[in-house]
Amino acid sequence: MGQAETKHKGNGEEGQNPSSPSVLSSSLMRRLLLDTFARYFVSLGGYFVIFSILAIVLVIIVEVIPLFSPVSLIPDTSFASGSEFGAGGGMPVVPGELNAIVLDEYREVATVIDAKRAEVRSYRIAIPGADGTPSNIKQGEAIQTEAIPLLEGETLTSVSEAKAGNFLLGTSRGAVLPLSVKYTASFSGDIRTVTPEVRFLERIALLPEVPAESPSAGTSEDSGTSETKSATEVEGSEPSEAAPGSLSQSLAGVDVLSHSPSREIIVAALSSGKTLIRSEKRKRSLMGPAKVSVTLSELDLSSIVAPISELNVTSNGQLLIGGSADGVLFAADIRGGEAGEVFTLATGGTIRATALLLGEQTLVVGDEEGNVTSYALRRTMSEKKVSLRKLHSFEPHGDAIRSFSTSSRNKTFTSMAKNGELAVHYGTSGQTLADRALGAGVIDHTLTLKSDGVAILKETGTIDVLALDNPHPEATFRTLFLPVQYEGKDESELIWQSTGGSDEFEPKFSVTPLLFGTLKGTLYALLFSVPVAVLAALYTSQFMPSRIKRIVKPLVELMAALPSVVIGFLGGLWLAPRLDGYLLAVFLFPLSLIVGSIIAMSLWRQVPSSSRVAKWAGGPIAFLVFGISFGLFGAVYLGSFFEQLFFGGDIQTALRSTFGIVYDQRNSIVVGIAMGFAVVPIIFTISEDCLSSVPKGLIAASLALGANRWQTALRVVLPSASPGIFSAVMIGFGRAIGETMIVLMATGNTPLIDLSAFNGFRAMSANIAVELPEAPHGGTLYRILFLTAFLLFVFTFVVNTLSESVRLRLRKKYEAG
Amino acid sequence: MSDKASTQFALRSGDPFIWLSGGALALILILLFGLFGLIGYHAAGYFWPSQVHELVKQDGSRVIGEIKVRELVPGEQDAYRIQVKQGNRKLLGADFVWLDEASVTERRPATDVLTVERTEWGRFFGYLKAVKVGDRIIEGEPAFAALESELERANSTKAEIKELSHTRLAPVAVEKAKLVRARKSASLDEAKKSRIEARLEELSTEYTNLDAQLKRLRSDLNATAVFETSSKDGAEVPVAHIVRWYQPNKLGLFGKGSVYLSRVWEFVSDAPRESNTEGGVWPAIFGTVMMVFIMSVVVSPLGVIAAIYLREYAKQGRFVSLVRISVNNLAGVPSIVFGVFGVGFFIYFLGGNIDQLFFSDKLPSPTFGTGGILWASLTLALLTLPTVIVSVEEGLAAIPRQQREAAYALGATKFEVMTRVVLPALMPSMLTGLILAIARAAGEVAPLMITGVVKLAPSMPIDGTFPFVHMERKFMHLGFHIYDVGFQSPNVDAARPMVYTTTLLLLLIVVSLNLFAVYFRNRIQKSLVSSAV
Repeated sequence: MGQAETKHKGNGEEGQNPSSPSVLSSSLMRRLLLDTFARYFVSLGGYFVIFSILAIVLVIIVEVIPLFSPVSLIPDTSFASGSEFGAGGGMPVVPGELNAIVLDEYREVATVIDAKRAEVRSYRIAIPGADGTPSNIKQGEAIQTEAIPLLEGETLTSVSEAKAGNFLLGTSRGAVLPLSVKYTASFSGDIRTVTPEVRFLERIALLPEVPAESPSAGTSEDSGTSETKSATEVEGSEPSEAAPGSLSQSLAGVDVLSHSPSREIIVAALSSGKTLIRSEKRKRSLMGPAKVSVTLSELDLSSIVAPISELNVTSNGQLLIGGSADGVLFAADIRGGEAGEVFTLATGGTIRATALLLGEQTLVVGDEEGNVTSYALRRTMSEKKVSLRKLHSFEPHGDAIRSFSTSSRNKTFTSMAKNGELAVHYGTSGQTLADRALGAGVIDHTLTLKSDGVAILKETGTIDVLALDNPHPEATFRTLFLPVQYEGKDESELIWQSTGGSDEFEPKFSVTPLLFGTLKGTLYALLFSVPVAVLAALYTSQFMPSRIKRIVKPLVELMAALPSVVIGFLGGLWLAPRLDGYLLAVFLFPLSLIVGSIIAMSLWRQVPSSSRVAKWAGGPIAFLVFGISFGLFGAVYLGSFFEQLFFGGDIQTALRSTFGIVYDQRNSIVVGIAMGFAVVPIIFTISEDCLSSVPKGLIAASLALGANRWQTALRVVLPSASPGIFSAVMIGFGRAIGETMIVLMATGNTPLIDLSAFNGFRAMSANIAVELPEAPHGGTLYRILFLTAFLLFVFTFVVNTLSESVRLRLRKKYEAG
Repeated sequence: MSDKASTQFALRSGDPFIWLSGGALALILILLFGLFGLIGYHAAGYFWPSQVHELVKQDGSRVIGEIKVRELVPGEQDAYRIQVKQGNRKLLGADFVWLDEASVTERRPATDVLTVERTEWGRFFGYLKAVKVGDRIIEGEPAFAALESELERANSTKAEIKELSHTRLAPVAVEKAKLVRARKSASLDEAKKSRIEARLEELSTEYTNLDAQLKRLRSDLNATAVFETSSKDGAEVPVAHIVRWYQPNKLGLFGKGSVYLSRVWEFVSDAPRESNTEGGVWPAIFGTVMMVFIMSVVVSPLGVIAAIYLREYAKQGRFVSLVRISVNNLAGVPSIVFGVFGVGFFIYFLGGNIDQLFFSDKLPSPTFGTGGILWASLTLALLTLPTVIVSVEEGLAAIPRQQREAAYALGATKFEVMTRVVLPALMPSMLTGLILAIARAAGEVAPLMITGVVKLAPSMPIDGTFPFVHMERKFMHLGFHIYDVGFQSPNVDAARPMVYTTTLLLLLIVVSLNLFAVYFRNRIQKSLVSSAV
């Protein structure tokens, strides 16, 4: 670049042709031009570097911000479908709950079950021309209408909704109609067309059909009906052949209904007050049709007085959870079609809606007063026992809860109240993330498959679609830093467990154990390195001949350049297994240091002062190296001796049995020594510089006043240099906080909160190194790892700035003095 | 003086405390030299062929192998146990076995035993009985000569196979894949299409021919060596699997020395085998060097320009001192944070956009949108930028004002002063900064773990296929190799010597680089002193 261009002949020409002003000025012009260019170029480069320093912080912050950006719930589209829902002739008391809505994954088509007209209608709801949707569609156009195949005089009395559009419709004559709504998207070029496919499967009579003479029985009776969650996917169901005669054959409508995805388990609360469990078993045979055997059994809910208002069957068909109008929650294990012991829990208000969150370990319950509460579901497999325990109370609504919708991606769910309030909650944290008032007259709502939108069906026939932007519900200040009550745990805990075996895993993103681990590792490292480094610096600066100092200081500085992977490897693979056998020796090391130096001193004193050894400047340190080595070996020997004597040679077992202390091989002592080794040279170098720069006059004055050399060093030099030593410790602290490879290799990396020296920890830095390669770009884990990186950055930046300013002040003080 | 008085005197003089503080320094030195000694001790002996013993147990069974460790049986007073590397993993299941000394009745050096290093299944110990070549069986003394000649033949055949598959078969396969992809694209006229078809046909026949040749060569690798081992049945080892064989107990010093050297050479020049626990570390050395090279190319101009800007061009004031503090602080920011920045900015932002623009046909599988040597090098460049800036700034501060002023007085422009006066004087400090940066980068592992280092790279960042330099490829690194082999290896006992050796290599590189830097810095100081005088 610039260097090549400098070979212009400016100066030479000037010298040769002083008489030609035109050449001179042109060469001068060139030189000046070049100079200006260089100025801009260098400035640009300088700005670039400054910018890139800023960029480091900016990029990290930009990746972290979405974690804390508020959940948005904004109206997207709204249109009138042209047909009113609302209460009508022959409708149950709570008419809206019979009508259900589902949406395709592109939010393009909405399908509505209209109980009043006994129809299933699909509408186009996408905005014409928007993002892959054809521009020629008519919004709100009903593109398909399918009549519900009811018998003469039969009405719909209940709906059981499942994920991805699988329904079961209960009728006034004790029958259920399986319904599946599927969407297929076809593409021609960039234009996408979504076609709904509405299919009714053969009706299943829960009880033998009674002639259609007395049709009113089912509809006149009533009470709370509702829909429940579950899922369906079955290839046409064969008609049931067997209906046990032992059961009551009176005509009864299906009030509340729930089913497992395969529709093998159907639970129905009938208007006669009975609750039936229908269990269907299929045996696939190679030849001929599948054999179907159906068992019906009655659920004994004698302890519950009021009618059942809610039923839920888990997707494996093993558990039944429900609620009643008088506020009793109940749960039972229904494996094999027979209910085990029924667990009941009184909650208070009339239960209006229930739903199981993803993973089916948490039940959310909404009542008449608008309270939203979650309960943990626990089961004992062997004893067929189930229990519920209250977890969180969410922000209550002002009116009765109408419906819930749960996300199929995480523990997010939405609740809608009768007065039109819609709220987004997160099950793990117990927090309500967003809410919005939509006005009264709402019937049902549903979350989209990708949880990026909510569709609301209103009595007026309007369908409102809201866009939901809720990418990181798992991360709020509370879940990141405070104890959280997780599924399957007895109390609130601080846990870091970012990934699990299945999609239904509840991620536990508590950063606190990592923060704790980082600080714990740093603490142990400083515990070892600060005394050693500061004492060594004091000796080097005050008592060491400068000839030896010139060798020793670069040596220790070289130590700072050792790759941390080397130190970590030795810590994890060499030191840790050896420490196992010589644990007591570690505690004897301070003693061995004292004994070793006293031995060295005594030996040195024995050297006749006339000998050549006594004149050797490196003598004391050589004797010390010998003495300390001796001391260390003594400690190792004594350590194993005492271990034999007091603990029978196995201190780990003794620790566990007498004190209940768990001993990990890769523990904090190993990290303390290994990371201390990495930190020592930093603290040593800076402290030594500061100690050396203490004015000689101070020392001379102290000595002149009769203080000995040690008193001078301890009472005069050390205090005057203490700000510098403080800053050295701070810089060492900064290094230890961010150290990655050593903590990664020398600890077990278990995210515990325990100050014990005998077990490991997981530090933020090591956590980033381990988990970032596996974290999907833009996901919650990814952003949380960026957050921890940001915390590390802030920590070290603050600590470094602090120590730098302390050091500057110290330097000024000495320069002034 | 009585003892008591002397103690009192000693305490009053404060000397014991002085010696104690000196003890702390001695401890640091012991730790430092202990670390070097430990690594040297474990690493240096690894390549030296060790004695192979034959141990007879009480039940009459034999164990043949190298004795590695002798230690107290845990929980016992004076019972010892020994760890024997028995090799023959395929036969015996485990490389290492612990034997109580009490159970060993006889222990003798196995004079005629062969140590065989293999490409698969690790070491093998056994007595050579015969060499089978096809139907021919060579027994007794001639078997050794036959083994040697067969090994040579197998090696040349293997080289031929490698040559054939790399330089002739691979290009055919690559072109074929390209054409198949091209055929799929919609915008093709008939003429082009038929041309592609014709070429594909040609390639297919060529491929079949080459494949047949390869098959023939492979069938040539038919020799096996028959051994007697500790198990009664004996074992056969295909000669093609043998890397090297020797009779450790018969080797003299010279013989051992040559085995040692050949293994050291293998270590630095060969690719790893057996999931990195054997063979060499050449790809890791290459990856480290290349990464450091790219980093240097980026960091040195940037660092020098930034330092010159800060000290020579920028207006000295609050802003510049703020920047200077930031640069100093940046040196203290944990390396993993730089790695995180590299992931967020280089890989996902820059790399993602490059993929969108230039490699959209390969999406969703990323080209630059994933870790690679370029991104790792840039991350490390940023990490070492403060080192270079600080060092160059120190150098700039040390250049006497008078030199510059003299040049200005002669009518030089600022640019000329910079290039003719300042830069030449700056050379040593630039070099110091760069060397320190390289030393830091060579030993840094944490940021690389998330920006593109892998345990085993299938291909090097530079190879014979167009465009020869593949900046997007993942690479191997000595430091990461240590972590991976030491902590992620399935066979930790067998891997340990390898880790120590790699550590020694890395340590040698880093320490010598640092010593160079110290040397240069001293020279600057000396030249400054002399110029001041």
